[in-house]
Formats: sequence, C-alpha cells, structure tokens
Amino acid sequence: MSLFIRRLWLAAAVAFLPTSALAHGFGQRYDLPVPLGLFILGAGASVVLSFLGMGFFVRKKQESVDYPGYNLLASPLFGWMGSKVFLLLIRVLSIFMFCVTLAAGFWGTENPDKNIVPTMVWIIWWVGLAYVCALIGNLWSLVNPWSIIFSWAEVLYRKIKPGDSLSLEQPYPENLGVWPAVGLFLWFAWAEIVWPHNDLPRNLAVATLGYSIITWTGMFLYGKEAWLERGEAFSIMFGVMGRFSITETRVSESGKNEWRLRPPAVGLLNTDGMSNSMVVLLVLMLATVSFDGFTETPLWHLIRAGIYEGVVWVGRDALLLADTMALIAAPALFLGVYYLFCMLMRAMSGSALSTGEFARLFVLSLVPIAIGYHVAHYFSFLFIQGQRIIPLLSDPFGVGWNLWGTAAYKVDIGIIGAKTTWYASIAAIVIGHICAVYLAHVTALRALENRFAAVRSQYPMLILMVGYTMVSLWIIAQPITGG
Amino acid sequence: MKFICRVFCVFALIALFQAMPAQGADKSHGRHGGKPAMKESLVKGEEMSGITLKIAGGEIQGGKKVIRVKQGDEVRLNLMADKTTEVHLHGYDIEKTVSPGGVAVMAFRARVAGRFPVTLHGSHSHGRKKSGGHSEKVLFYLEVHP
Repeated sequence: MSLFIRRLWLAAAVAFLPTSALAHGFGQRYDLPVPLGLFILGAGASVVLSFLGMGFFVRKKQESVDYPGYNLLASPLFGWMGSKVFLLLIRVLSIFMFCVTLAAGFWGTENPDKNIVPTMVWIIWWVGLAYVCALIGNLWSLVNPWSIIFSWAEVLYRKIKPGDSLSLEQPYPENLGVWPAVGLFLWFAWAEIVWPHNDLPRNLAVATLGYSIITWTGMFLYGKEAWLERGEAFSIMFGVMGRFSITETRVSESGKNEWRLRPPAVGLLNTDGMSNSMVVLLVLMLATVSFDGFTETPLWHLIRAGIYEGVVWVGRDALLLADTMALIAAPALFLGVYYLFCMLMRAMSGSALSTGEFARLFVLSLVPIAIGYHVAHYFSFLFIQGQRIIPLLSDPFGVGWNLWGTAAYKVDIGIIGAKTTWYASIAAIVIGHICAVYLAHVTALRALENRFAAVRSQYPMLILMVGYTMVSLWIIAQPITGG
Repeated sequence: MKFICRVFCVFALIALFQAMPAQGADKSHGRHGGKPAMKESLVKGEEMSGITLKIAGGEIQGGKKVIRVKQGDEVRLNLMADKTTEVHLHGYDIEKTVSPGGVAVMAFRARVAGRFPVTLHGSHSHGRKKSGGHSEKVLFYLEVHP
C-alpha cells in the first residue's frame, strides 16, 4: 500500500430523501427475485463480453502504468473542495456524527427503528459510504473518525511537548503483514452476518467503542499511518474499493494535493505492497460480500438446517455456532478455489512465477466483481431504507425531538421501481465482470513476458470470473428468504 | 486457439442452462430439529372475495405460501387464527390483530412492487439488521409483480 497521504475532498452533503417512520423492519430488503430472462441476459452478456474482451485486450500491451487523469481541484467548479476550511468542516461534521451516534447508542432508545445508531452504522456507513468509496472516491480516508481524533489529540499533545509524537513509533513488525486487519475484519463480518441483536443501539455503541480502543492502541504503538495501512480494517477495505472508483488523490511533483478524475478500475492495477496476508484479507472481503447475500437464499436455509442438526448437541448456542462455522467456511472455500485457479493459471502459462505470486498479482482483479454484486445487492435498500436517516436526524435518540422538522417523515418504499432495481443490478454485475476481465488481462500481459503465455494463463481466470459472476447473478435471482 | 474457443462456448452454454433461479419453487426451511421441509405453494391473488389464510400453531395452514399479485391490484387478505395474533405486513406496514373466531382483513392497493414478508409478532420484535427481526416468524410472503 502506498505511503502517500490520501485525502479526498468531497461534498459531504448527500441528498437524503425524506425519512419515514417505519414501525418495524429495520434492515429489510423488499427486492423481488430477478426474473429468469434477465438472469440469462446477464449471464450471457458476461460470457460474450468476456470473449470479446479476450480478443480485444490481448492485442494491446500496456507498457506504462500511467493512465489519463484530470485534477478536479484545478477546476473552478471543484477547487473550493480543496480548501483547508472545507476539509476541516467535513472532519468536524464527521466527528460530530460519530459522537452523536455513540451517545445515542448509550443514552437513546433501545428501539432500533427509532434510534439513529443502527441506521447510521448499517445503512449510511456500511452501505452508503461503501457506495461512495467504490464509485466516487475514498471518502473514508477523509472522514475516518479514529484517524481524525488521533490527529487532533496529537496536535493538542504537541502544544505541551513540541516536536514530540503522540505515538511510540515502534517499528511495525513487517512479517505481521495485515493479519491484524484480517482478524478485525473477520470479527466485523461475524458482527454483521451472524451476531443476533446487532441492530440494538447499545450493542453497536459498545462494539464501536471497543474497536476505537483497539485502533487507537495500534496507532499509539506503531504510528497513525502504519496502523491505518496494516491494522485498520476499514481503511484498507474502503481504500481497495476506492481504487475502483473514478477519482484518486495524489501529491504532485510540486507538492500540491491533487484530486484527480481517472478511468474506473485502473487503480486496482497497482499491486505494490501486495502480501499473502493481503490476499487473505481481500478474499475475506469478497467472500463476506457474497456470503451476506447468500444468507438470504432458500439454499442457505437448507444448508443451515443441516449444519444445525450436526451441532444441536451444543445446546442453546447451536444456531450461532452453525452460522459461525459457515462464516469461516465461506472465505476458506473462496481461498481454496482461488489458489486452485492460480495453480491452473501457472500451469497453463508455463511461467516461472509461483502460485503464490500469481495469487498476489491477480487478487485485485476480482474486486470489481465484488463491487458489482455489492451495488446490485444494496441498490434498492439504499434508496428505501436510506430514507430513514431523515426522520432520525431530527430525533436521533428516539425521545420525541424534532430538530429539523422531519421527524414525522414516512419512508416511501415505492421510490425505486422493481424493474429499475433489476436492470441496475444486472448492469452493475455485468459491468463489474467486464472490469475484472480487463484488469486480469492487463495484469497478465504485464507480468508474463511471453504474450502467448499471458493469453493462456487467462483461460482459467476467465472460468473463475464467469463462475464468480454467475454466483452473484444466482443470488439476486433467489427469493429473499428470512426463514 | 479456435478449438479452445469452441470448448469454451460449449462450457458457457452448459453453464447457462445449469443456471436455475428458483421461480416459485421456494422451499422453506425455517424450522430446525429434523422437521420435514414444506414446499411453498403459490396462491394467485385473483379471487374476488380475497384470499383466506388460517393461522394455526403460529403457522399458516397448508405451509408457507407465496402470494403473488400484480402491481396495482386491489388486495384483500382475510386472516383467521386459533388464538389472538398480531400480523404485520412489512413494507406496506399494515398491522392487524386477529382474534380467534373472527376475521381480520387487510385490504389495500398493491401500489409498490416487491417481496414483502408477513410476520407474526412475538414477544420480542428485534433481531438482526437483516430481515428486520430474525426472531419474527415469517408466515408468508406477498410478492407484488410489476
């Protein structure tokens, strides 16, 4: 991961639609299963476009790493977003929301529909911010509350001890790689998918506090930047998603901060600093995204019942155990399949590179498929359930306030039509697939000396990607089943 | 190269035909402990007087159903239960209390398309962030098709 300081200047104002005071049903999705015709269309398009891509991409070998870019901060329309005042404002807003969320978790109502915390965490942050980072740019690097608070604490500390650093600046043990982030992300994935009562405000507040302590300890020991790049799971994750997006931040030769518009997905071509632990982390993220959707399919409930019967002797927590086992099995399965295909790529290409090297080179090319699925899966969810934030902003603690006059707003579930959701979902998955195929081809041409070896190495990769895309399409064609 | 392309074409075709999204062939497996899985049955929402659903023992008699209507239809659900039950149609957010011996009617226009669970309100109404209450038992699904 690059050591460049990444900051993204973005308008923090997101157009939130009126909020609705839904009596129940936090976190629900009302998507209809994608009909068979559209499924076939999506699957067919993915396969056909992959072949076309194979034919087209193999002709060009990209020698240079450069891609076109345009500095948005140089334009009058966006230039003001680079100003120190604006950035400070965004950070203050982020910290304010962070504090409000924590406070509401501890002192607000326990009703998940009336308290701002579950909506803030699971909808605005986990889904909304991921959308922004994947499509527009890595906003998280600007608004990360743990990073901001640590920086501010250091500024205050330096007023007492000028020149000193708040952190111990211990050298980060390099052979630890990003394993701390792997552990933290696995814990988060468990909280998101398995943990019962993860919609309770207090639970989320406690978890957030726990994560804050861990993060600040890591920053204290190893320095803020080192921890953000190795241990802070969300910075790494949103950073990877940001690589797919159409903007990036850079420091120019003259030392100026730039916010550059660039083609999508090209940020994923940079495999500097890729390690085995990073491969595991990325596969964990990909698997989590898919598994999240899989747990709403009828097939999952069938499997779950089977596992449950195997562990029912455990007693009260048998279901929890069954879910946890599946949560660990999913990324393990992904990892196994991925390494298998890396072996096949190596065999087909006859390259001197090891399987591990293939794995490290190509893992980033799978990210667009995960992003495509994530966008598809949460598309209508963001538009419908995202509306909840408006009434909640007026009454974050759920005690009857009406700060902005929107407390009575009712969510409009018809804001996005079913057909729009279908088309958007299929489009997102197919586009993600095409980007992935493109990335893999370019990577192969660069990494493998012989052009023919590069082409041959892509046959297994194509099968893997088509398979992965098919899984995504299959999931959205399943009827959402809550059991 | 051409031969491999043909192999891939065959493979792709096989893969496409293997793809079988479940359209109305849902199986519900909400229960654990070895109980047999019940097949969801379709009920077309065309009946003039509405669809009658009987709740017994916390479940819809006859197994979990998927009720399909078209967007814009006038839907009428006649609910009966063996004991006092609160039934909640998510999305449209309609709640009715069904008393034994009586019929509670949910009558509305299906203006929004989607798949909406109808749940039984238990003693606790919160659960996981997904499905707005995993511990809320789903009686049946109402699918409104565009």
